[in-house]
Formats: sequence, C-alpha cells, structure tokens
Amino acid sequence: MLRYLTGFIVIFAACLGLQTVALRLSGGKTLKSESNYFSSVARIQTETQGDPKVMLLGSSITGRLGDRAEKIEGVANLGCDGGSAMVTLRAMDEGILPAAPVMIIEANTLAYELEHRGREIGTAIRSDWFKVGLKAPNLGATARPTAFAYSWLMARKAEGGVASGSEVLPITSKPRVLDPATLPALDEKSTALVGEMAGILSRLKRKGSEISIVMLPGVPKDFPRKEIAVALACKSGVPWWDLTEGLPENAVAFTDGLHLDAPGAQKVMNTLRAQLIPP
Amino acid sequence: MLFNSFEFLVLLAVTLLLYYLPIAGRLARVWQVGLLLVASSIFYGWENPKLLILLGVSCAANSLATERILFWKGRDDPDGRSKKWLTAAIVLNLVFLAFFKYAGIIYGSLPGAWISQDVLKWIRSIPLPIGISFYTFHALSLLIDVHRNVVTEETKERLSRRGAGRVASASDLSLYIVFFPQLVAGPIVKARNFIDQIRAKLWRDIEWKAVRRCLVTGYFLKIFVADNLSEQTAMLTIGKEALAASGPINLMAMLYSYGFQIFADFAGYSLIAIGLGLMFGYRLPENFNFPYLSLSITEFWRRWHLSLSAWLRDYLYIPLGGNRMGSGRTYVNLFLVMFLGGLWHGAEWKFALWGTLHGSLLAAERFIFRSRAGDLGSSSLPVRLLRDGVRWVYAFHAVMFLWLTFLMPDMANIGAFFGGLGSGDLSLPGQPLFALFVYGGMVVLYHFWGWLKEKHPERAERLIHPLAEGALHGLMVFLILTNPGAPRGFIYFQF
Repeated sequence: MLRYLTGFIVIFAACLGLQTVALRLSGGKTLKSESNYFSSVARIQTETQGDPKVMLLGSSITGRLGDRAEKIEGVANLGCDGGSAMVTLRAMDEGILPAAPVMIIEANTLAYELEHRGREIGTAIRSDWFKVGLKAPNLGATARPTAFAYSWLMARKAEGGVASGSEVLPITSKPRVLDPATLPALDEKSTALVGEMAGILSRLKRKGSEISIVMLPGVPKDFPRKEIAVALACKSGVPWWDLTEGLPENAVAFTDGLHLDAPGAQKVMNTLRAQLIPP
Repeated sequence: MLFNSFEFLVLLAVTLLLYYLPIAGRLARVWQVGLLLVASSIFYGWENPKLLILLGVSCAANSLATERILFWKGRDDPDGRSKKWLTAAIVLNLVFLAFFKYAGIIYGSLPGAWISQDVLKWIRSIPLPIGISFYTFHALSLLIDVHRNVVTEETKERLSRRGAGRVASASDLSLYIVFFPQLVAGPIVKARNFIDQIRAKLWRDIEWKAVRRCLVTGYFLKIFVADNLSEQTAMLTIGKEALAASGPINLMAMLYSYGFQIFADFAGYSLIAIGLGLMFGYRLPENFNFPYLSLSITEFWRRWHLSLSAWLRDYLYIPLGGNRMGSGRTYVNLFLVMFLGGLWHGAEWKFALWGTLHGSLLAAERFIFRSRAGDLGSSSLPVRLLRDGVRWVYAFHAVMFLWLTFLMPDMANIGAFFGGLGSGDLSLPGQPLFALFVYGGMVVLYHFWGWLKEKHPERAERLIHPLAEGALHGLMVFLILTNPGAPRGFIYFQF
C-alpha cells in the first residue's frame, strides 16, 4: 500500500507541478482547446478576470476575433462557440458573470437562442466546477493538459496567424439607434425571446453598461434570422451597427465561410476600436 | 443520479459510512439491506421520484410471483400452478416493458387508419423509465431461475418466507432488482449469482485493490475518454448535408472515435458499477473483455456486453433450441436472438437493424468457419499473423460500420456518410484527429494491455508493480480532475 501511495502521490504532484509551470509560461491561459466547449468556458473563465472595460459577447464568430486579432488591453472576448451572446448575457443578468462598462453584442447569432444553442455552456457557467476553476486555475478549462498540446500544435500550424496593422473595414456606416416604428413583425416565440433579451439589456443599462449590437461579417447560412437582432435593437433602443452594410465583396476573407481569417479579424477589431471601444 | 455527479459522491460517502456501522448479530444484515434499498431509491428517484412507483410495483409483483412459484413448486402441483404464476409474471413484466418502451414503435407501425395521430402522440410522449430494460431482465432471470430450480436451497428458503418473514424475503428480492450500482445499466446479474451474496458485510472484507482498479479505470474511461470524444462524435448526427460535405478522413476519424467512445462509456460505467458493488461486498459480473481485440463478430459478442450475451443465451437462445436442432434452426435462432437483442437496446427499428446485421454476420461466420475448420492451426507463424491481421481488420471495421446503424437517425444519414466517404476531400481535420489520437489512443492502449495479458500473461504480471500502478493511477486521476469532458449522461442509460 505504501509503495502504491508513493507512486500515486509522486506522479500526481509532478503532473500538477508541470501543469502549473506550463500555465505560467503561457501567461495564464491556453490559446485554444480541441474542444469548442472548453475553448468557450476557458475564454469566459479567463477574460472575466481583472475588470475589463469592454466585453465582446457572441458566438465563435466573436471568439475568433480574440484568437486571431491583436489583443487590446482591457477588452475581454466572451465568444461562446456554438452559442450566442445570450449565454453570457443571461449569466450577467443573474449576477454569475460581471458586466463591463462597454458591451458589444454580436447580432449574427442571437436567433440561435430560439433553438437553445449553447445551452451546455450556459449550464457550465452555472456549475460548481466553473467556480472551482476560477479559484483554482489548475482545475480551470484553460489549464487542461490537452489544451496545452493543442495550442502548441495550432501555434505551429498557424505561424503568424495573429494579425496586426491598423487597416479598418472599407465601410461608411456608423452605429445608430433604430426607429422603434421599424420593428419587424415576428412570430410568438421570437417576440418572447426579443422581449426577454430587451429586458436583460435594459437592466444592464440601468447598472451603467453602454451596449451596442453589431452585425459582424460572417452570416450563419443555416439560421440567419437577422430580424431577431434588428427587433432587439428597435425594442431596446441600443445602437445598431451592421458592418456588412456596404462592405465590398472580398474585403475580408473567411477560413470556412463563417469565421474571419486573421487579417479580417484585425480589420474588424480596428473598426470596432475606432467607433465603440474607448481609448 | 449519475455516477459522475457531485450528489452521487455525497450519497456514496454517506451510505458507505452508515453501511459499515458496527451493528452486531442478525440486525447487521437487516440494516445493510435496508440501507442499500433506501440509497438505491434515492439514487433512482433523484431526478424523478415518480419513477419509484413503477419500480416498487415491479418489486412487489415479482416478490409475490416468486413466493407463489416456490410455494407451488414445493408441493404436488398437478394443475401446473407454478408455471401459470411464472407465465403471468413474465407477461406482466413484458407488458410493463412494452408499454413504456415499445408502445410508440408498435403503434407507430400500424396503418394510419387504425390509430389516431393524437393517441399516437400521447403514446410517444410516455417517458421511458430509466433502466427499465435492465431491471425487467433482472426480474425475468429471477422468475425463470426459481422456476427452473437452479437457485440454491438457501435462496429458495429466503424467497419463500411467509408471514413476518415475507418482509425480509421481499427486501432481499428488491435489493437484487434495485441495487444501485447495477440498477440502470447493468451489468445484468442473474438471480442465482446475486441473492446468495446477501449477508452481513464487514469493512475488513472489502477488496480495496480491486475497488480502486475498477473505479479509477472506470471513471477515467468515462470522464477522460468518452466525455471528451463525445463532442467530436456529435458531429456525426448534425445532419446529412453536413455529412455529405465532409471528407473521408474526417468521417472515419469520427466513426472510430464513436466506436471508442461507446466502449469507454459503457465499459467505464460497468467498471464503476463493479467497483461500487465490491465496496458494498457484492461481486457483479464482468461486462467487457477487450472487445476490440476480436478477430470475428462471434468473438466480439463473447467480449462485448457479456452479461447481456449470457442473459440472451440462457433465457432466449437455449430455450429456442440453441444449436441442438440442426444448422438451419441454429441460423434462425441466432438471427432471432440478435434481432431481439438489437431491439432491446431501443424502441427504434435502427436498433433492430443493428442487431439483425450482427446476427447475419454471426450466421455467415458460423457457416464459413465451420466449413473451413480443418484448415486452421497448421499454418506457419507469418501466415497465422497475416490471417489474424486480416480477420482483425474485418471484425474491427464490421463493428465500427455497424455502429452507424446504432447511431444514425435514419438510412438517409447513413447514405450521406458513405457519400462523404467518396467525396475525395482529403483535408486533415484538426480537432477530430487530435481527439481520436489522444482520447481514442487511451482505448487502444487499454486493449494493448488486454492483448498483453492474454498473450503474454507472465510479462503483464511483471508490469503490475504497486509503485507503477500507483503512478499510473496518479496520472489517471490527474487527468480526470484537470481534463474532464463536458459532463454527459451514460449512453446506455437511455436503454
């Protein structure tokens, strides 16, 4: 029994030590996990630390902006792969996650909520394990041993994958408040969803957050339903900005038809920074 | 309640502490059986206490029927009343199973004019009580074993008590049906192998080495391997358009991953169940014996879900005549048993198709291997290795491709999968390949260990050193804690 315990404790401690060192070397977070679920959880666990001034909420479309564009100090990316901004908005409304003074909501996938996409991540945020991961980084999603290996492989594969530069999107549109009279007609289920989302935005605004809804380049082909996001902007009175409006074809490129490549992500971030992100 | 949930760990700890309280004499047994019944009820009814009603009815009805069967078997029974009780009890169990599990598929297969859509919708909305297939099989095993007289005198005496002793008798029988480690997904225990184990248990008799091996390996297979693979394999069910647009490398990586996931999920569950059983002093049967080492489908079924195979053999295949009634009838029996075994997994024709295809391969192998039996054994080593290699490739891929019928919602999706295989898109998908390599690799290593134990037991024995085993378990527990997959239920819970 003693020999068994010795072997157990030595290896367990060695693994824990190695993981701690790796976590420090990586600056407290891994780049990417082989699991979209854990990539999202890791993003939320790490990005909500340290009182960010700006938060980007959305799906993997938003998530890739954080992975592929230059990091802007004070800007947290809470993109939920497979989900929508509603996953994190609900958690903020319930006080589980902190809100930031400026919040940019991705419009592209808000309609996903009609199909409860991203529910798994919502459940994860509310779990005890998520809280344990916040307190003990070694048990957090960003410190998964496989995430170190996968991030290392990704970094080798995509050398120079994170872009830089100051180029913005070639568009002339600006954020604007939509006329409530232009509220599109919706079915009962969509109306209920928009009502719930507007309620959350109104409560967050009352707590002092400045909120904008932004349509990013990259529209999901399987479930576009842009009218849900437009209706939310009309009902809540928060500024609406469609970055695809007047955007020339081929102005940005995608890796898979939906997610921006690194130069595209950088242009979008520069554009957002110019209008919505305070210096 | 799930074995991999926090509330289960609390229930387990409390039950274990109370279970081994130092209680003297005959009370110890009563206390322990009662406590396990309470713990099992909490475990089963945690999410939906209403399910306990059906389980309770099942225990009460089977307890009464067992007592009656034993009563009449112990007497001159010219009217065959014991058989009538047996038949009635079997019918009742099967009616429960049919109503809750198969009503939808039965009525859904009727012509539209025979049944209104509203009734069909209501029937399909009836929730499936978790584990009903497993506890029904337990009950049938009990009734048939008692009627066949293959239980010990001690068991007979215990289960036939009347008057005040009936409570103890019903408790023993209920414990056999509801014992929480095996209640919802097996291993399927035969009555004759369980009831005699019911006696007062002592802390010092716990086989801790076996317990920790089962629990660490079981939780590792479930939490580190199966749960991590499931995110990748979910892509196999996202729709036929996506499948048809995927390349062959991506699809095969996901298919292999699913084969490894379902093994890790179910074998992991079974190992946890066996380990938990041992903690409470009960030995449950092995359920898996490195199935992906099989060189044929016949061998696969001797290594996969052993307790189900044994149940089907003892209570279905042999009563149907087994292989004693000529080769034609043997093929029919194989086919029928596998068809029903497939349908046992779920109330969908795809499961029947899965079972039937396995049955067809079993019949084909029986025909081919019997006619070539004389050719075997005389070949040289390289020829034997080549032959075994070819057989392994055949058996492994037959099992893998047949998982498609198990997993996919319909034939259109299976068609789309094969369409994607022929698409010619040879791009390397990062996430599925990484997951297959890392998590699926663990299943490969586990089978390599099984191969070593079978082929070179003395070398395997030398490797089992307490220090090395402790180190391995330290690594596995580290990965369970730091690298779990997204929490998911066990695949076999739905059956």
